[in-house]
Amino acid sequence: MHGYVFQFRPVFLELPLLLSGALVTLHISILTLFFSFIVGTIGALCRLSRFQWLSGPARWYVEFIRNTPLLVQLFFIYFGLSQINIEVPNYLAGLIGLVVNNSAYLTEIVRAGIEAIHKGQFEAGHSLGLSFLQLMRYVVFPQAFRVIYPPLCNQFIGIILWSSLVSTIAVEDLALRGKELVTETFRSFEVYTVVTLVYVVMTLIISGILKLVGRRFFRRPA
Amino acid sequence: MRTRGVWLGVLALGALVGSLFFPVLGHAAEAGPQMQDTLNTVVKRGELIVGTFDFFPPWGFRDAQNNLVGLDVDIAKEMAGDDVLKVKLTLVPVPTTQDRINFLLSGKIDVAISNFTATLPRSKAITFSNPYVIDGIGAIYRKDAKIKSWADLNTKKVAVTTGSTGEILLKEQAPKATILRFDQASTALLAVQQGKADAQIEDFTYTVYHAGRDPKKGLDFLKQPLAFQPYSFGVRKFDQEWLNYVNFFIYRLQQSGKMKELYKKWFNAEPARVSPTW
Amino acid sequence: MPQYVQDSLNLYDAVLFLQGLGNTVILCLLGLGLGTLIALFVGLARASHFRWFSWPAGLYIEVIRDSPLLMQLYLVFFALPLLDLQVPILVAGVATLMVNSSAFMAEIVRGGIQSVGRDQWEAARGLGMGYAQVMRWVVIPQAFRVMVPPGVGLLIGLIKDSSVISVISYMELTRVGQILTEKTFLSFQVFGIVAALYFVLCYPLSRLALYVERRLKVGG
Repeated sequence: MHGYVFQFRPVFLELPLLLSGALVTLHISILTLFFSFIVGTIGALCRLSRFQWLSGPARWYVEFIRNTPLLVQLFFIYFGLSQINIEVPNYLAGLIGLVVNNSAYLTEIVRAGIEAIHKGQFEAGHSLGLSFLQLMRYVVFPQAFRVIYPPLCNQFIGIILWSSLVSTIAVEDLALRGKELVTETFRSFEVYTVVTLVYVVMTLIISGILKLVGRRFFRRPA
Repeated sequence: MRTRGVWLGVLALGALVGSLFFPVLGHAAEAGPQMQDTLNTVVKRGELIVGTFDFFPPWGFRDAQNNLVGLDVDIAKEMAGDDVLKVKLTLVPVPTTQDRINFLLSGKIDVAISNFTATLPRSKAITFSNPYVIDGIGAIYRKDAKIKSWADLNTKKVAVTTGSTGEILLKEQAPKATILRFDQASTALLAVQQGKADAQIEDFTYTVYHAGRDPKKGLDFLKQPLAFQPYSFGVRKFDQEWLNYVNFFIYRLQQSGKMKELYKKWFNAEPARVSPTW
Repeated sequence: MPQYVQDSLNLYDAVLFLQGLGNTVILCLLGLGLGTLIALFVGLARASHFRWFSWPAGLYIEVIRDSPLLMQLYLVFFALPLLDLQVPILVAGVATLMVNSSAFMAEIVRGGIQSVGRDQWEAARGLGMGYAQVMRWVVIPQAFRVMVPPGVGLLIGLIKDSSVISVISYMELTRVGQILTEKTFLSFQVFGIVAALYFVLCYPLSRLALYVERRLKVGG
């Protein structure tokens, strides 16, 4: 369409609306990271366990989630479960979907972190008479976390970006606010450009901060 | 690169904020609008591309064989048919309410025939033809929610389709209602069926149809439509010849009785008069 | 009013599932194929020692990797046509996946090129080979080894990401799921089948990636 007049002003006037959506995005992303880390750690321990009845199902869970799309998982949780009479409100469904999805990836990340620790550490811990929990808390985790931290940060960035999919199940995040704005102003180019920029700015700032924090706390031992 | 990323992010943020104060980005130089000539394009192409819904019985939906059928679909077939344009018909299922406008603006379809209500805000982006049928706005609600009028909705959770006339009307008439927005009417309806919403505001014929086919028999619809709305075809702006053609087609459709015939086929009832003279 | 009720899935729906599956495969192969072509240039530029090449390439990669696929899709499909670039639905889907995968693939290409040690470069140069010859005979064959496992991983990721293309009404597998759910309201069964079909597509590829990785490690 020749003669399309770019008008960014209407979009910028509604910036508070978009930013309220960005807050929801951050909110759900942080909660997702928190819960995914917990579930992922449990998953990793199951995976590494001697017991088949723990490691087997954990492995299948990871494989199934990692080989199916997040969008389908979200639809399944939101619509599919309701059909068999398990009602889930939309924010919760979005959160559960994101957590279930990311926990699978986090299981593998945490597992890699634990496996990276030299076997000698476990033996030394045992010979010192440490219990399983003490071993985990004082020996394994501090060291594993160094290995886990970079992929964990990457995963968090991924969570922020892919959380945009919860807009399809009516969660008022940045993406949905953008869509609403297009409905009001019919300016899809301007709106989506600005929304994308907000995502990029958020992501760059957060990943930059995480990297700085990482350098400060996780100086690799000589 | 990542620490540089923080600076880049701050820079971009600064640019975003700074441009708020730049009038340049607000009022770009006015360039002349280009006249569209969809009519000739369609004839030359030998193909008419019509946007309809595929989830909105009986206007546009999929039958058991997954073919796209419905009243709007039949009208589209008429338009591409031997008496009219005599071209091939391509139906493009438009996924959401808002996408009718987006698809028109981005040239994906030549005309939108999809129970499209003409409204003034929408008319700022696209052009509507004369009405071809009258419908209303209704509410479909859970029997235990006991909705009788707009006022009752103020304390309820109401599902609407983003960008629909129902959403706009709801915001005006029941401002205190809790609004749940969905991309599609079918997902909004699902929310009502699953108890996540107490009611859905949609086109009247939609509410009648779906209240009837609810398997759990727990839904009811408001017998009197809350508002009346005519449906029109949607076309692009600056497309006068195409608009004239489409309007004449609609007039012919009514005059020849074909519209009555198609309406009866899908609704089992006589259509309301759209215009005093037709 | 006539009733259009469908309470269970039928044979036609099964055909639609398969069509959706096929369309997903087409979408991903085209997207990744074209994306890899772009990535070869971008990745090479990124690995280059010239700032004029590596910086713009880096910016391209960073912006794409730091924005959601959903937004990229909306920009390509709705926004671009406003600048007089008409994009049919399949092309929009392929273009979005192409651009998206090119950024991630470029990093894989860069990693592959940089994995070939300097000593290889110097040895080849010492033998009198020009830049292009070194690339063709020494670097690329070895880089290729390094690139294949993450490349397959990218393909698997792309197959899953293609589910987002459903929002522009392209008849891929997830869209088929939405259509059938709208028709029958059997979301549990429909999306269960959709998930299973994606799994059938992705799981063998992920085993293949592991196998290839193991084989290539041994090869050396």
